[in-house]
Amino acid sequence: MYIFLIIWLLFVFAYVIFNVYGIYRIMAMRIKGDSVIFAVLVYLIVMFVIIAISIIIIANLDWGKNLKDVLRF
Amino acid sequence: MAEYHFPVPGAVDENKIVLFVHRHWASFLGQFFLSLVMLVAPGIIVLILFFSDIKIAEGFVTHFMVLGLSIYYLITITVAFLAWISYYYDIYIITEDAIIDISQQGFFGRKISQLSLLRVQDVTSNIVGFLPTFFGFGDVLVETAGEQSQNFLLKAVPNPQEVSAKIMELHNGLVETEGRHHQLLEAEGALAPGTIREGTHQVGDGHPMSETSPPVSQPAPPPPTNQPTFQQNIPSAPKEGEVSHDDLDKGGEIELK
Repeated sequence: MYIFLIIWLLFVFAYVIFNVYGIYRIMAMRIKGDSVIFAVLVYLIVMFVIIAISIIIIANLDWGKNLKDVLRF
Repeated sequence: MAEYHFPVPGAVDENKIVLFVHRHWASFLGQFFLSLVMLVAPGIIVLILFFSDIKIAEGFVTHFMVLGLSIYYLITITVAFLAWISYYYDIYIITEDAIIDISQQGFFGRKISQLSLLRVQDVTSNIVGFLPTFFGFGDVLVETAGEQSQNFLLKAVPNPQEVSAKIMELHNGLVETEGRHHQLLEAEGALAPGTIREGTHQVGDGHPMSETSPPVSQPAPPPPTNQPTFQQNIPSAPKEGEVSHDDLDKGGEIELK
């Protein structure tokens, strides 16, 4: 089951890198005085809330079981 | 007319800006509600499963569900944010002499197009549909003259009729100003009478020359010595191929020598 956890972590890692660079590009192309900074702040808060809730729930689940046992019906 | 006091890019002279048009907020309603449904619907489904007697969310299904929902929500908020960024940075700036179209495509794409108002030939405003009619927004199509015609579509702008009327008004004013400018130059003697309107420039000896003549910086062949040339009327005739200060004072309209 750890394999799914590793895949999820890899996804989150790539996602964070993509967003960090994307937000950096947006900030570089900003128009003076716009309200993008506020939108980016809200976006980052929502993103980290989702990741935090996911981590909290994931931490409370048992991931140690073998995948073969899970798929056995 | 709706007022737009949105700040402007540094490359645009703020004093020349006549209209700063942003896409109407109602044009974003569709994407907004779609994002809202995509965010809310899975949560409602999970709550129904949790409180019902259906035993789907048990065992390791919960594990997959947590990971899947986490990825789903992250992707959904990113898609929603990208849609908002694309909407927010879709800007049209109409200055005294040009239309600038700034179009944002997600994080990594921004297209800035510029069209001279002198090239404008037709302007069409278009309001189609319930929401555009109700909120008073629509498209403005700016068509240009010439063989390489370039059309500008100003999407979902508020009060499209007024925007199109303003563009035509600026275009007409610019054409009139340019015409007067040429009249002044003609009066000063910098231009031969009627040269611009006829689409041809005149050289000193009165022969018409097409607009595809070589640029000023290229040296022209020397005129025959027995014919009077325009250079003889200039007090300090420059060397061949040079641009004199007298020529520069004539508003950039330089005689070819």
